[in-house]
Amino acid sequence: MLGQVIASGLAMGCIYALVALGYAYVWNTMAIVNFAAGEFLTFAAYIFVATFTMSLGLPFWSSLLLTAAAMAALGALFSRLVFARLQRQRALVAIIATVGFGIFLKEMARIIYGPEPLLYVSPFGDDMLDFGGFRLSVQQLLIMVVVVVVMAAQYFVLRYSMIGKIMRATALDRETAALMGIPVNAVLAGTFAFSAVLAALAGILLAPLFYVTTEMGSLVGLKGFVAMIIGGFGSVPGAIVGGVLLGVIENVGAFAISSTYKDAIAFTMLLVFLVVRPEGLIPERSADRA
Amino acid sequence: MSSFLRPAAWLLIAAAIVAPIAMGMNTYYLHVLNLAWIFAIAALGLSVATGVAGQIVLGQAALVGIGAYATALLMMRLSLPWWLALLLAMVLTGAVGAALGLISTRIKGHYLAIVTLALNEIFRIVAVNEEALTGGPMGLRNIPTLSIPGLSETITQQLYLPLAGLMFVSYALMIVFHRSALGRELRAVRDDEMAAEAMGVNSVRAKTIAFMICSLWGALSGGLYVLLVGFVAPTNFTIAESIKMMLMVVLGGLGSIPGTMLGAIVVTILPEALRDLQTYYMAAFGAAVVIIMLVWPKGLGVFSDWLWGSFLTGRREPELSAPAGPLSLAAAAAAASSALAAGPALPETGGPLMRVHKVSRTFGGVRALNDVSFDVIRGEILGLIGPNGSGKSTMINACSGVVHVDGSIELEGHPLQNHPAWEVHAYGVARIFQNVRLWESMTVLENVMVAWRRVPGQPSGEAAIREASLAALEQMGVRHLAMRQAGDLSFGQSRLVEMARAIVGRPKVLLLDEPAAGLRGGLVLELSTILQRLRAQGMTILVVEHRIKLVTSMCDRVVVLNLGDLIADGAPAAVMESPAVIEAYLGERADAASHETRARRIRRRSVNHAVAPG
Amino acid sequence: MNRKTTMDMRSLLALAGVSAALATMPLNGAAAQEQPLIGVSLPMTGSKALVGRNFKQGVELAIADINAAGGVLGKPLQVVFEDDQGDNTNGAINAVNKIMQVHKTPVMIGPHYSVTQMATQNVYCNGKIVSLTGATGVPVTNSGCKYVIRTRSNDDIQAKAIIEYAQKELNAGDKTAVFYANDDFGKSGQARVVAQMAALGLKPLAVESHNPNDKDYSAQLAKLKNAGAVLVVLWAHDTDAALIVKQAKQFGLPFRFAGAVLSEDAFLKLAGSGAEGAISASYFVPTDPNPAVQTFVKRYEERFKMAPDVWSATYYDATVLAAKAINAAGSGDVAKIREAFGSVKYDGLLASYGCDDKGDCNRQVNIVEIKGGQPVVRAAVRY
Repeated sequence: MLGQVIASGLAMGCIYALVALGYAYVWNTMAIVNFAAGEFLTFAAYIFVATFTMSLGLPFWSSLLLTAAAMAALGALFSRLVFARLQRQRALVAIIATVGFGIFLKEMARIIYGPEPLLYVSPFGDDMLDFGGFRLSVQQLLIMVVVVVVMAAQYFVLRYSMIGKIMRATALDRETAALMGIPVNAVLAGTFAFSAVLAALAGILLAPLFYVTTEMGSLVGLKGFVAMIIGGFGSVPGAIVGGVLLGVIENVGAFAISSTYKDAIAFTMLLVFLVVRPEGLIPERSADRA
Repeated sequence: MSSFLRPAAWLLIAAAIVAPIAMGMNTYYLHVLNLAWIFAIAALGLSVATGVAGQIVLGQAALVGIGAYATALLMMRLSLPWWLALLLAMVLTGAVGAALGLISTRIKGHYLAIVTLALNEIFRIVAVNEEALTGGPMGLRNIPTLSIPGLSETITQQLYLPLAGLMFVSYALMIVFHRSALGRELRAVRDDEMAAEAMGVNSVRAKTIAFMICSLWGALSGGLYVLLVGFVAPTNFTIAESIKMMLMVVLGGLGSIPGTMLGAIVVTILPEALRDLQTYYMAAFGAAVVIIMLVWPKGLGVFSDWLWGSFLTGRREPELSAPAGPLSLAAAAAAASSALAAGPALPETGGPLMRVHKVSRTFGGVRALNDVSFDVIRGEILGLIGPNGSGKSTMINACSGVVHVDGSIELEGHPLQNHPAWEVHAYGVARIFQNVRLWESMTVLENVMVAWRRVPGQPSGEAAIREASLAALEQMGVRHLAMRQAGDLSFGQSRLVEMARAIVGRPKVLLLDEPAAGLRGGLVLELSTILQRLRAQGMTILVVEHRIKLVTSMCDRVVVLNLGDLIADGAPAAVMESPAVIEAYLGERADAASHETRARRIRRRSVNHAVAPG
Repeated sequence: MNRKTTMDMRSLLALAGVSAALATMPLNGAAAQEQPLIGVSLPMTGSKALVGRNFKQGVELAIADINAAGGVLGKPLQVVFEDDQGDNTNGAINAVNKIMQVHKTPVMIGPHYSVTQMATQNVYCNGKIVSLTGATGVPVTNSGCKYVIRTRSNDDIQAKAIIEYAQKELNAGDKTAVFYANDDFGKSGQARVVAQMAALGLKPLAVESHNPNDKDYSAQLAKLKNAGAVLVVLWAHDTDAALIVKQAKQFGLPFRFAGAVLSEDAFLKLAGSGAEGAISASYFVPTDPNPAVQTFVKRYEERFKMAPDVWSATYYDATVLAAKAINAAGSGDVAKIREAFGSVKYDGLLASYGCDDKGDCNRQVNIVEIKGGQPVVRAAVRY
């Protein structure tokens, strides 16, 4: 059964990694942490399930694309309206403002979609695949595949395309990038939109596993942030490793130590890392500039 | 007009507070108001930690909870009287706060936000599960409540006025604290921690105190809640409650203590007054937080700060008219030179005051300082020059305790290297920063007062500190700016205020990192007169400067760094002729042209260099 | 007028505004004209808003029925609803205070949660109001409060019924484990289950819990499996319970589940085929063949276009019971109404009600098993 526990932890860890990746991108280009990321996830799940799938009756793929587009638009809008103004502020101001926006988003989801949890059945079914001993649901496998694909895609785009170069240039020195003709504001909005799409993906992947509720994203958002700290603040490979590690360790911890204190285990792990290895597992060179 | 309005407003408020009980309003309204007073006290702690000291706490509800549970348990298990239970609960929670404060010196900003959030959740889990101690999910009930017979019949009525009074007293206390020396230190840490440490603020102590205050008020609020309601359960202290308290602080304007009171009252009462609209409440509050943070950071504080008036800011200095010049440096320089002529003889120059011995420092593989050794002689003005990237600023940072190094730096035999910056400042080393680091939300006078340092034989106490600070501002010709907010000053003015801040503690060694940068050309030479004056007052000065003309005119001696190495040490004129220096500046072999022309080119070039970035 | 004075004027205006806002508070209360007889404290916002909606609909249907039958004390029954935000103790205290002080009703329905009951008993147990509640925590009627009426059997009875039935029918014996939600509902239920097992000389193989926000239960399920559990007594909220049985099925774990809410509509909908065979000690299932229940279900569905759940039925009954007691007392006098509860009998949807001195009016639960996706009543247990 331990294999089972690890496999489930791995799937959750992949979700944390997606969210953590969103944090890392935004941190790298804007040096702000978006504490509303979990609520972006919640909101995306609602749009996907309630609006596109249930109300409009669209098939899975078009719902997915439309949700991604809607969240990208919301992300870009939020970035221009709110985030851009937080640039020169102290970290404190940005934290409180994004927490406030998260509450707003969560409450809006409740006002628009009502208090009932929404059930979403994955089009891929909830069959179990037997891998000689332990079982993995199709959905869990899908999560892992999607996360691996996203990780690979973002790596190659960032490494080899012009978009990647532009983003890295903006991250390194915004003023110089602007002087070189890079549309800095568009890049920042684009980065934020990308992180919103990552949250949307996480929400869509989680919808069949969880029920869609207004609370579904809050804890995932926090754990994603913990994952980024463990992996290394702003470090892209760190976010992935940290996410997966957190997912596995908290599940194994709940199994081996205490299920009652499962969340406490995740947060204690955070404290240990902050004291013993504050720069994270795979530190980004320009770590916390706050 | 104004003098009449404020007392009128206060009368109105007093009437509004007494009216509910005097009019015999029923206990529903009184209870809502009682909750408002109690939450205002909890938010007060948060206001000090987050608003004043800049340490983000997203778990205040847990501190309130510890206070509440401790008060209840001490009364129930040990049968202690309420006041003793409350007091002990505050001590216990204060200890928790102190521990949090120590954590916060290692864990900052975003990390602190998530750690405090996590601690709140852990508190909830423990309270639900450790049933033997906490009563589990059903909470503790039948806790003895506090009744004051003779005031009224129900507890709600009896405690109404005492709670309102206690709330006002707590706020008054914290407002006094806000403008006390400690309050200034907390604000300095919030505005610029590095500058605060370099100017003598022990940030570990400041943060620990901030968190202790935060948890003390939290504990008091929790204890009062228990004494009022007689019941406590884990659902009282969820993260949502912590966020609500943060909302009170933000609504009142971050950093405004009176604003927090108004924020707490609005956040507690408004949802009750408009019960029917509650579906939209949290959404509206969420949006309000974003808008306030972005557009109206002062929040409700605008009004309540006015209400408290001079009680908040302390006695205001009468505004002096600005001297004729844009910067009154000319006047100050004139005063300085006349003082020089009339003043006492120069202090004895002589032995080394500060010894830098084999100091090295590496940044990620780049050696910024490489076995640098030199002495600073008592009473001299020593110039520290070198091309860009030669390690000058790193040297200043090392001498002021901002950067850790290998090797030794001694002041009168005391080792200074790798001591916290505030200890270095206490030994008598003060500095200014290359890119001016004032505490922008504080007044100019407060900026200077923070850096005051106890010198044996000099008077101390708030009044003396104030006098000394005003004198320092006077000396820099910026006394008329004393009541201005530091963030509103021009760069040149800020530079002079920073100078005043550096000299107010009568340091033995003054470290100046490009003091002339940002000053208009004509004023640069007057700066040299001021430095002479400071030297005459007994300060030894180490100055980093680009302008060779300035260096030669004001320095007694010059040391030259290049790529982390000390390449010359001697009288300005002699150093300028040194082949190594010429090579360092021009990057040519020394034998290509005569020293004379080369030295001239250095002067020209370094002047151009200094002017270009401005 | 200089700038400073304008500023001051503006501040004074702002102050006047705030005072005006404060002054409207009592006016709201004074505006109520006809004195309602029942105040209802229920969650209308927050995370328990769903419970509150069904709760409220149950009360509304009951009012319609009561008024069709002649109302209370000869007049149509009027009630007021106040939001208590679910298990938020401060919200509940404010709601109860408002009902007592502003609406001044002699009877109150709610607060519904055990923790909010415990928090508000200090406030309302002074002889000024009678509270009817469906809270099942054992302490609710055991804390010395004389003015609480409980319309559902407590956790002890529920736990005893399910454990005894499980032992008798399933013979799980010492292969029983407990899995609960780490909050007031799950934690207190768990304590009762363990106590009832101990009364039968049994000890759970394992006791596991999950946090309210957990959605992945693989670790706990693995521990239950490793412990060798055959029967899992599950004390979790309906949506979480649904996920748990679903995941157990996915992992191929052959547990039999027994619990408190494993017959709720939300549970059945979300758990799908995983729900099959689960048994629970339920207060109400819409498939109960009892004709009174069937009439109620039909009329509820007509009116609200949805199926009733346990909250609708519980508070339908509570409202009817309250109306009967007020009519029996013959006046709005609190002491008389409380006394009347001692004699009123009512064959309701959940049980045949009859109140004892402590205020417990219901000692019945139904043992329900899920067969073919539908809850089937196996037995009604009375103690």
